[in-house]
Amino acid sequence: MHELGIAMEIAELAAERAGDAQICRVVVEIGTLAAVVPDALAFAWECMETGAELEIVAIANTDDLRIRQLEVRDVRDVRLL
Amino acid sequence: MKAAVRTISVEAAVLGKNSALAEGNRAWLAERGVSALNLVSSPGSGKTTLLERTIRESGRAICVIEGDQATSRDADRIRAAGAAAVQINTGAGCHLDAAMIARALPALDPPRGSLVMIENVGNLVCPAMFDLGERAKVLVASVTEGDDKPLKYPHMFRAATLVVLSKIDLLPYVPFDRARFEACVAEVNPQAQILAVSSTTGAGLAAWYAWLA
Repeated sequence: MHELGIAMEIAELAAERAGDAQICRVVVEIGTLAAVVPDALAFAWECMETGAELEIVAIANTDDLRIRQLEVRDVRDVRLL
Repeated sequence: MKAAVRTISVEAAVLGKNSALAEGNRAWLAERGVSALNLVSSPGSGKTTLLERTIRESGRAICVIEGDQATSRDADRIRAAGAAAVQINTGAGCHLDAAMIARALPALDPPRGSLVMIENVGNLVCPAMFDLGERAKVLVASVTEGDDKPLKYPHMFRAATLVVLSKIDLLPYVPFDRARFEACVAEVNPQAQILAVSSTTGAGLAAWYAWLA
């Protein structure tokens, strides 16, 4: 139900942290007590078609929902001196 | 040539928009010296009846935000009991959210020092996920619902600060084991307090009014 809103928040926060780099993967931690359904979040993320993968790591006994890290690629051309 | 993939460590919480709005509600209430309670339960547990009696008897200044899919029946009952009420109809929605409360609070205009009771949509699942800006969630569970409900709805019972066991006047007529219920609550939420009441006979209500103070 509210997983799409959360997916959008994840995308926004990831974009802020990535700057100009292209995001390949976002790794999020979802507490098992977080009342967020991982499958629904994965589905919502797919619907957003960001081009980035969402990796969901379940963490026991917490209701935290965090972005752990991003895997990015710098899109500027690599020039040889 | 494609650049190599590198890792950016983020380690940051994802705050839902609802949480941010809820904090806004909390600040709005604090500025006015008002606190709010979020009453949650399944449909028909006795939330509105408990509120009617509380408004009439407790001596506390109370105003109410009512949440239901349809009708203003509950808000009408609250007004008849003598308190101001704003009715939110969620339509197809199954829970109140912080945005709805943010719109209702200025309309309710709670006076300084009053207590805002938010009567959520009857639903033991979704309201657990949505912070409204309340000081605490109060879960009303009635003796006709079965003593094992805390185990079956752990998210909601875990989110509650206080569990009000209602309709205890019906205990002689239902197979409800109070000790078992209390053990089930303690299993999912050892911190939760339990108060047993009957809005019909008045049993236990003094302790409820004392808790509200």
